[in-house]
Amino acid sequence: MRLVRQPVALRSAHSVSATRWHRRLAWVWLFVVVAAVAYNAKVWLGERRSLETDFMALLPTDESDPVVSRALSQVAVSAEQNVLVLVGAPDWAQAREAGLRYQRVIARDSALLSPALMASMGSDSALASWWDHRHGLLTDEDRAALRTAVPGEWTQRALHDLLSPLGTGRIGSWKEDPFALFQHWLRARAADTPVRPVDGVLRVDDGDMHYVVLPLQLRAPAFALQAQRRVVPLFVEARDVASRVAPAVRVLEAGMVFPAAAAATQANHEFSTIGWGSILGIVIVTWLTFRSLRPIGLILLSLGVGTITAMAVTAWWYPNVHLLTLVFGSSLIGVGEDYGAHYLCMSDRRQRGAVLAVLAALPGLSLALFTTLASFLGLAISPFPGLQQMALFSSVGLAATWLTVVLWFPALDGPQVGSARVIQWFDRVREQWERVALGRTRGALGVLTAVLVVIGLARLHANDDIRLLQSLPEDMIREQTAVGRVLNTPFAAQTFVIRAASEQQALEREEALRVRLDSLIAQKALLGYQAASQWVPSRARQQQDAALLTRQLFSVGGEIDRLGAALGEGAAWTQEMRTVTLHQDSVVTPSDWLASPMSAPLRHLWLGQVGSVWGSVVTLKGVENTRMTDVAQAAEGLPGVVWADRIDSISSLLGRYRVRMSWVLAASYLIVWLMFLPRYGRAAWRVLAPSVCASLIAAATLGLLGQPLQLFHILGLFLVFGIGVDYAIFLTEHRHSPPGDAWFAVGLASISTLLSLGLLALSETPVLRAFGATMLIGITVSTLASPLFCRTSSHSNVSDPASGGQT
Amino acid sequence: MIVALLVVLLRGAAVASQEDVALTRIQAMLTHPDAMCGDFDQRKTLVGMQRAVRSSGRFCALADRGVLWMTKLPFASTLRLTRDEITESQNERITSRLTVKEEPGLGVINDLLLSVLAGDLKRLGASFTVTATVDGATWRARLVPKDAGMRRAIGLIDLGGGEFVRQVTITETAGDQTAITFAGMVTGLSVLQPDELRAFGSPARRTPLRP
Repeated sequence: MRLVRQPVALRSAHSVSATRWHRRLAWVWLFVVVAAVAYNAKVWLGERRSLETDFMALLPTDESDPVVSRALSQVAVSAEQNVLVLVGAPDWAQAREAGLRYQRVIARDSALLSPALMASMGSDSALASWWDHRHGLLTDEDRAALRTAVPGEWTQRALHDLLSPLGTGRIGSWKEDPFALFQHWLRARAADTPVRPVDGVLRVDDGDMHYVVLPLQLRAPAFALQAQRRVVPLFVEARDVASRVAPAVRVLEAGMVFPAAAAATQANHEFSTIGWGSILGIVIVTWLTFRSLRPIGLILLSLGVGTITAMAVTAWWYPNVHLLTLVFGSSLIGVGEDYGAHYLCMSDRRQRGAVLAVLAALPGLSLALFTTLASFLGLAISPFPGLQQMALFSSVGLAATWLTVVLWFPALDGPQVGSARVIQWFDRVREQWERVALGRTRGALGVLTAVLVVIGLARLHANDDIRLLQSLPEDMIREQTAVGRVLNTPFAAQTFVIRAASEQQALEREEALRVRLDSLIAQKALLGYQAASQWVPSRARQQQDAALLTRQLFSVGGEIDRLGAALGEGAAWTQEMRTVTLHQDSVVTPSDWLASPMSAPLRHLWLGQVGSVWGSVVTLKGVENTRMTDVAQAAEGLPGVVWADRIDSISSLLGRYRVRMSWVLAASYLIVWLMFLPRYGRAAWRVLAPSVCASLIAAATLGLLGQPLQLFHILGLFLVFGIGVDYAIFLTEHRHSPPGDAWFAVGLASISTLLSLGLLALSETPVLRAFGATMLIGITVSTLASPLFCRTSSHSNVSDPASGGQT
Repeated sequence: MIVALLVVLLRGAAVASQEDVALTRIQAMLTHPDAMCGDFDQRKTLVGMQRAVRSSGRFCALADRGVLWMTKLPFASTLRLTRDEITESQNERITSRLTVKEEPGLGVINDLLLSVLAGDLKRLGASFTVTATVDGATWRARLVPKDAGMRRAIGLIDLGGGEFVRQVTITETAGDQTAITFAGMVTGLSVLQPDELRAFGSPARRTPLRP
């Protein structure tokens, strides 16, 4: 007491001006906070801005190659907007009825969901471009057969066709396609999808089941929360209505909106359960500690101001605020509870004068803030847009919380509170822990820990597979897979990207790739692919095919003459047939295809011109897992063709950053150690030791549990670094406060951090769980290790500027 | 596509539309055998061609198996349609095969056809607009596919007959026309020749089509 009362008397003049300045700054801060509240109201209530929920938006766009990145995002976006629903039953009439009822429910919100076009072989007019250029369009089989044809063979084929009682199923009359070449070509295109228009709806069969196919286009981003809230109940109702038609009716839904909505619901749910859980926990702990509502109010106020300011700044800086930023970011701001607790735990602050007490604690508080901000900086320099956003959110939030504590708490502080019994209890726990840790068993404990850490670290392995970070409900995965299988849709994440100097070269390069893919299909390495050049062969290919057809079928004295003779037609007929074929010289072009409704479900395959380059995409269907590398190698040696695997590229990116961030973490420790040297001298390492131990033990625990190390664990260790160092700083800085105060503040802060961030270990979202588990172990160990390393500081010779040379 | 066959198989079924009395009467006039064989005479009139293309032969239909279409003139060619595929053969050699897997539309049409075989009348009403007239012991009906894609694949169908379907005319969208007349119809499993039974896969009658 004597030590602290003295400076108040000595510096009374100084303290008056400090108090005045402090009050002015408090008013300025109030103004800023009011502005933040107003800005939030404008953005969230006025503009009704919606939250981003796409997990992929958190990930870096990667790829230095603009064509590849455009290709991947174009394919992904087209996949995101699509919803495919199959309504089926073993009885077609029931299936159709159920499908129609489903459609009627969905049709109620046509602004948000509209029927999409699907490749189901459209009307004659949609196919007009191809019909007009049919002589340049040959299937691979017909081309091969024409090359090796013997005289008379094709005449026989044509006559044979005429015997069939089956309708010809042609566009145009028999005479216009006597060798059925265009019919074959069209059938090959139609084979791309098993969907057929039947009885006024689209139908697909799978074994004994008949399904009505309802392709839908979502008119809002799949990851926009508001769209999800409107659309999902509609799907639930439609499914319900359709299921009531018959017990055997089965509904399969697929589309990015379903997992997106599930993930958002989960995150929302966790936000409220874990979020409220941690707030409740903090309230209870504070109540037990202070037996007063005022500290709770103060702490909630500081966290509230932090969150509101963070939201305002983030919304101002980023057009799209991610849901996870809110969930995770507000947990991070929970760390700011430390500052409030730190202030409230100064049991002698009334004697010293609240403002002066804050000023005295300022160096410690500042160092704590800066180390935490430094750890967030680690997140900000990662290439992950999501983490950058979280880093901004949390940094602003923490700084605002800190300012609130420093500027407002002295004025709002009430009568001195604090339960001596709780403080004593904390101190007793510490004493007992120190007795155990530093007593006779010290050596054994140290060795045991070291051995376990070594074993754990030796067993630690990394796995950066992005798929580990997704957590979809089982039945949802099953439905999505079933729909993909029944409809034979390609898998969007793994594609070939073609780059070329011109439109025609892009088509030619696709054709070169397709030769290899066809042989892989023959080897059963994959089921099929989708490529623009299937619809639009290159000009060269079309001209070659037209020449082949003219030579083999329409030459003078060739097949067409034989056919004419067999059907009793004269020379005039033959001449007319020849003229019809030969007058053509134009070809189908990509713009014909793009302009036709036939391309609607496939337009994402054509990138067109990207800068000075032309690009296109070839998507794959049913790749045999064991043959993935063979398929990927199909691009090898082909100029302008690259294999683009979004999953693989993101996973390897996660891996690269896991390694890079580990080094950044190590460097951060080194930099902070250098920062501490002037203040703590040779004891500087002691401030860092608890966090280092905590990080090693957290990593070793993963190894012992057989869990793979991922980037998100490393990012968790960044926070262990930022927060753990705080504790050590508080313990070191507060050796002049009444005994027990500092440890009490650290213990309280640690408990509330565990309640806010550690609870994330319960999350079903793998990323949050990884963070949470790391924090749980890391913070516990940091807290327990701090008194062991910083104990000696109470009688060290470290200078303490805050106490003004009182030592 | 396969509509001529479909129509052959209509026999009893097919042209039902509840409100139309004529359809009910036609339904009553047609016989419903398990198996049936007969002769056909087919005449294709093609746009821009001077002469019609004629062919003739014998056909057999089995209620739960499908149809054999055995052209004898101008040259021999056999077409077999079952639930899963269409095959064409010349002199026991298969010249072409189209399976449901390759062309799902085939499955749809086969399914339609075989449902009709099983007496599922509601089926045609969903896919076709049907108009019919009855004149004494004979009747006429016209089937117009409702779906544009089906109309291209199948065309417009006119049929007429009494106890059996006697004439079928298919008019395709571009104007090509196929006219088939049937004669010498006999019913019962015993009318199938051994090789015809074999073509359906012996023994005949393995599984009933629908309960």
